[in-house]
Amino acid sequence: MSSDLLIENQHGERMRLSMGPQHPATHGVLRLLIDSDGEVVSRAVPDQGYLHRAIEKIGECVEWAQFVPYTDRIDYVCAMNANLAYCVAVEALLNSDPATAVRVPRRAECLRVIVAELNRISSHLIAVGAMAMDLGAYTPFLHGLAQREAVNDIFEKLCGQRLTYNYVTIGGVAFDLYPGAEQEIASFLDRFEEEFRRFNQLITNNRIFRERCAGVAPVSAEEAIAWGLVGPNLRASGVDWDIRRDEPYGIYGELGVRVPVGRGYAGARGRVGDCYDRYVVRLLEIEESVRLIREALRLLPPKADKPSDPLGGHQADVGKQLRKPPRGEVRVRTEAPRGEMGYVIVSDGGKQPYRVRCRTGSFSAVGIFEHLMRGIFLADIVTIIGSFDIVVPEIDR
Amino acid sequence: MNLGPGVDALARFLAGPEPAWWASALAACIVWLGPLLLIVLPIAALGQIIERKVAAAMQRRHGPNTAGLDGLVRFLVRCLCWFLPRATQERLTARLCRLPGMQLARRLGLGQLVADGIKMLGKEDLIPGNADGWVFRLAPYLAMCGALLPFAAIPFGQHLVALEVPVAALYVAAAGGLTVIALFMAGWGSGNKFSLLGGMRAVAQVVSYEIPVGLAIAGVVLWCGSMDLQRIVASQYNAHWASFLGWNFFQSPFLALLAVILFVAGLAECQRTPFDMAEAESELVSGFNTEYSGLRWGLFAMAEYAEMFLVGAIIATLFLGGYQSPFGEPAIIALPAWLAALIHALMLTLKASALLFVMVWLRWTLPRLRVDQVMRLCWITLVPLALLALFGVALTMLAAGSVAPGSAYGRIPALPELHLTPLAHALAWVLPVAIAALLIVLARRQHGRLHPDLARLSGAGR
Amino acid sequence: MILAWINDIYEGVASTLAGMRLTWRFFWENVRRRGGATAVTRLYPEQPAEVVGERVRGHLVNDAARCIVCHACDKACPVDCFVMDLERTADNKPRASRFDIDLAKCIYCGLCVRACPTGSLSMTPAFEVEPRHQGQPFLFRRNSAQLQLRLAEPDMQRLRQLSQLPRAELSAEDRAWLDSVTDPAGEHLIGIFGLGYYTPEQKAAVEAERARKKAEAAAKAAAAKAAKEAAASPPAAASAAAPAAQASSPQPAAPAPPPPAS
Repeated sequence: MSSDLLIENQHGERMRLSMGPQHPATHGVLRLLIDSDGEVVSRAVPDQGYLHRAIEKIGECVEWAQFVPYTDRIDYVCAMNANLAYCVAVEALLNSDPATAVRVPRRAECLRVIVAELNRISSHLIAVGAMAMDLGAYTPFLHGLAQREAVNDIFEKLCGQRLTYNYVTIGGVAFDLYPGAEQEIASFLDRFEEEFRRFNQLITNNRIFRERCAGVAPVSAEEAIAWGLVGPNLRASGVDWDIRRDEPYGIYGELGVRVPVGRGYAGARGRVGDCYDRYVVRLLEIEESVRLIREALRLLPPKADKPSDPLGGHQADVGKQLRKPPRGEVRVRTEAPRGEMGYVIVSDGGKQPYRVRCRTGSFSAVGIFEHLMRGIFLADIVTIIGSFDIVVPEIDR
Repeated sequence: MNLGPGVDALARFLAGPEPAWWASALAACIVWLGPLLLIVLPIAALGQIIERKVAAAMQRRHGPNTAGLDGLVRFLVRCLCWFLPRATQERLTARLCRLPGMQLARRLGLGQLVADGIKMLGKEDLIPGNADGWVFRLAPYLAMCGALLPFAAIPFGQHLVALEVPVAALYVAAAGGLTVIALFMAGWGSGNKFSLLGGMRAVAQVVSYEIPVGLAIAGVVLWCGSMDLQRIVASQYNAHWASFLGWNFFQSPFLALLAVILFVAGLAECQRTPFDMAEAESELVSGFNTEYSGLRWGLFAMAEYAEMFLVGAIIATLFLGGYQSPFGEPAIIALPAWLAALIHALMLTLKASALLFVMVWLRWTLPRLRVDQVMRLCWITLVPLALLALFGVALTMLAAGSVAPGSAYGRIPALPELHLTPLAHALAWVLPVAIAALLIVLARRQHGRLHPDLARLSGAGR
Repeated sequence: MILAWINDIYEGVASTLAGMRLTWRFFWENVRRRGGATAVTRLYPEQPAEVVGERVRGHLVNDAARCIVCHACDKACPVDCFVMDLERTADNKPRASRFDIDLAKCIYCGLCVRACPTGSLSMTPAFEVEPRHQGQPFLFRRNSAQLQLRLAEPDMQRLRQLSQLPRAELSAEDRAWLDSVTDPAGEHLIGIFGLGYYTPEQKAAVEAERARKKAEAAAKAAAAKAAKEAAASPPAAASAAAPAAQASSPQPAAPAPPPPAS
């Protein structure tokens, strides 16, 4: 038996460890092949494909509007943002020809911001909570989850589902706010701020947690750009780039998004772009999202009777346009919680997309793993996975 | 045979005035097994439920609360009252289940204990194909031994100690070290790489943390002038009604520091968060017990809680007055021997359980350290601090004389007296604490800056 | 260096104590209020999940009386979970002789409900999938052999009637017949047309709710008209009334009869 344990002599006296696809800390079914010398990892290679469902191929076989529920399944932790990315892309396609141009009602744009930012909060809560749990602190995760459930309650009242919302539609959103929603969202935000402070007192400033993350797998700004990191992972390396501010879609341009970047928050032992920065940048984004929701609630025009009212409606009528969309190709990117969620859509003028290509944040993040996971401790692997906030169905699609 | 007055008395009771060696051994076993069966094992079994309930409360969940004892009551009624008609049995069951305690049992999930036990017994005992057979099978029993053997020397009362030897403190530390061998056997024998890594971590960690444990025990031994746990407990006696003032913990800040160090090192010794490297479920799946199932896994779980209770009992014995009551100890000694023994055993159980609760509390608060940080904490923080505290204890003794006596318990010969006048006592506290506070203020001023974003996130600026 | 060391120890102890203070607060709140009154979780079967909001997408249900078999839902469905057949009543009205929803395929996206022009499709607030669960008379299982089974109208009536009785009250003959058309152990979870997915009470409640909404909408429209007369109204956006975009109201004020599918 003892000789079986020390296998793979081609790498010298090293142990090859297969971490995943069934493993408590690989966030689903990511698999890592690890060559380790005891505790020190000499090489770790991610192995993907355990959750591949050919969603992009499905996109070529269903109609434009029918693909929206599938985008829920691309990233189920933030399905609102996934819906939004696809719908914004299709709207861009329709707008490429004045004949089929679609004008999303302003109220719908505000609602989109509200749900997208609410979902960003709940997604980041999973991210930071799961990272804390990977590091052995179980309680913060469940407190974060309780807040996520509060968001899900709002979403359930809004659209009837808690996970796969199918709420954002091409040309608007599926439902208007339910009675009393504004007050409920506002009071949730007030409660949430208090709970969020508690969360941070419990874990963010915890010395052990900071020590575990400080200086682990720092990514410099040049590296981050070279490896194509996106979203919070990119910003943690000090690159000041956010699609919501720099290439605004919807009404984000009016909201004045403030973009947090990594500054070496871990102090003396930390470096810019380490795991702690990635973690803190997400916390600061939660803070910013709370502000954006309040702002969007303030901008929300009053409800109109007709759903397609350009100001107070919630849904522009796009049935005719979708039956005969313009030919051509659009590339659109949006800022989802896990970074840029970009769509390339090719249309041949038919009822179905010719090609739907989706590029997601987790996919970008997993590329750098092999580069980062050299000469680190085995325990750092889960820290790195957690700090990059991997959602495996988003990698595989 | 001279195994301490309690055991000798029992042996004489069993086999006449000149008991044979076997009678002494039997008596020692009885005195050892009594507290073990009545206190330690029930607490070890309850540990799982305590842990789950406390975790649930801290995470705003309900925890186990559906398995009451109703089914058990029904089963017992059926078995014991088989001669009654079924309807009467049902009525009896319903009445018994309505008792207030039954509802509490259900809410506390006590039935879960029974259910878990039955499940554990009924589960298949899996042994992996490439396991090292007997090493794998033996490990859980050895772990249990490591957790239970030290209890032989822990005094649960004036006469309630099986092994009253002059080097009891040494014995406890040594016997407790058996667990690490069990963990490594489990890790090696499982034939699983995760288990092996867990076993390696356990060995590295426990061997390192033996040093702060040893230093902490040495501090008490120095202060009390004895390695006999009975004598250490007796030396903490105080005739004042607030008898906790005599406890070692309150004698000197250095002893208090040693108690904290012993607690932290004890956490590491029994592989609890933040030191649960050997188990580390998010890194090593379940570490050394990944491959265990059924009863063997259950033994590991029991051993873990028994060991936590052991650490609590050791700290209570060395620093918190052992089996003594915090208030009115002189009155308790004056009670009949059996009643005093009962109260004393209860006191030690309470103290150890309170420390066990703190361990559970810590587990659901803190994240886990990394391997190198565990070692750094041991060698760079705990060992220097323990040496410092040891030095401080010696210094205090040098300044004040020698140690307080345990003569109230009669049979223990009086030790040289330590004259700590109230002024000296106060000085012994104030001086070191003031120096430490000064250093901390200086250190905070130089290194304690928190980034304003982080301060805002945790609401410090408000 | 010494000061950094002291600072490390202080921070470790202080942040641990701060965390412990918080967890103790949670713990104590929970213990003091007894039995987890502050708990955010539920004791699921005894304390069922309360239905939040009116838009909950539980199970897909077709109200037979309203359905005109226009296939709008079929076209909107991304997973093709509908199987339906058309027949004509004596007065030449379209009616479904078969309307199966394969609940194993359904992804509960709600696109069909938004597409339905008559409001016959809706989603229930109940979401349990366990057919034996109480108050769930509308879910049936079929085995592969029964999957293509078609029922005539009298059989449908009988099925509807039997499905609302507790199984224990059925006669042996009824039970045998019921087992021949459905199969409690079947692997296909299917909602069958015309079974009356709702209990009569549920159905009455839904009807009342719809009537209320309709009246509300009418009142609102009247109010809006009055308001429009007072102020210059913006030009109404042209509405093609495509069924796929009918989003918010399950029951349009005046449903335009779409061409019956052939």
